[in-house]
Amino acid sequence: MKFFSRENQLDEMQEQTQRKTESTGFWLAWTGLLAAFLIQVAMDKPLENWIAECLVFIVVDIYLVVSCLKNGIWDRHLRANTGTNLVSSIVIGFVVAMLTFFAGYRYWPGALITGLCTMLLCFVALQFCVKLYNKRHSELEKEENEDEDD
Amino acid sequence: MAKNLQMKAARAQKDMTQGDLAEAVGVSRQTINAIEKGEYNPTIKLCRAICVALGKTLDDLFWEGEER
Repeated sequence: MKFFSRENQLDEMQEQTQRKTESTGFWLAWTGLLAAFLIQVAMDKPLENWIAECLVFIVVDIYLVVSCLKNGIWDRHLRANTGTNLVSSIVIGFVVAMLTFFAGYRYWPGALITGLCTMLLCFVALQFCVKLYNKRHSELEKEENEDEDD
Repeated sequence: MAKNLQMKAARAQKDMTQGDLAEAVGVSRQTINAIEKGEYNPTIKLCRAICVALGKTLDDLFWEGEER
């Protein structure tokens, strides 16, 4: 009795539907993992409780970032520029500051400094990624022009 | 996306069911149904396979001119 086929049994439309389903499933899992991680941090649970989730989350995110940059892709809607990075960093810094304030000892100077440091680090990381993205994007566009010349 | 009535007519001319056409081009019946209903935009590879199976050209089946 056959239970496995090396060949893809799906046709192109089914394959597309399967990929959409997998994509939705992935983002559900990603959001769930982030929520689980944030809730545990907010509840001041010990590190051992959420470190595994956090590591999985980081590995997945690194994969996403590297894969997108390698293919010269930034985002469907957000533009790769300093303004977008600044707004994104402020939002992230604010969320981290709030989380630190409510999950910690309600010590606002500490939360503020944590938020500002996070904002700064995020901004630097995003700017670095934009630089890599622009470089890779230009390379890929150039390759296409060279192909056309052949 | 508009319904692909040309493809449906061409299939009827050949006296083929959606299942027959699906088998001829190696896809599922639901894919053929979705193409005819205009719910799925097939790749050029599948378009060509459908044209061969129905004995029509790409223009006959997939060209969206003003008459459509």
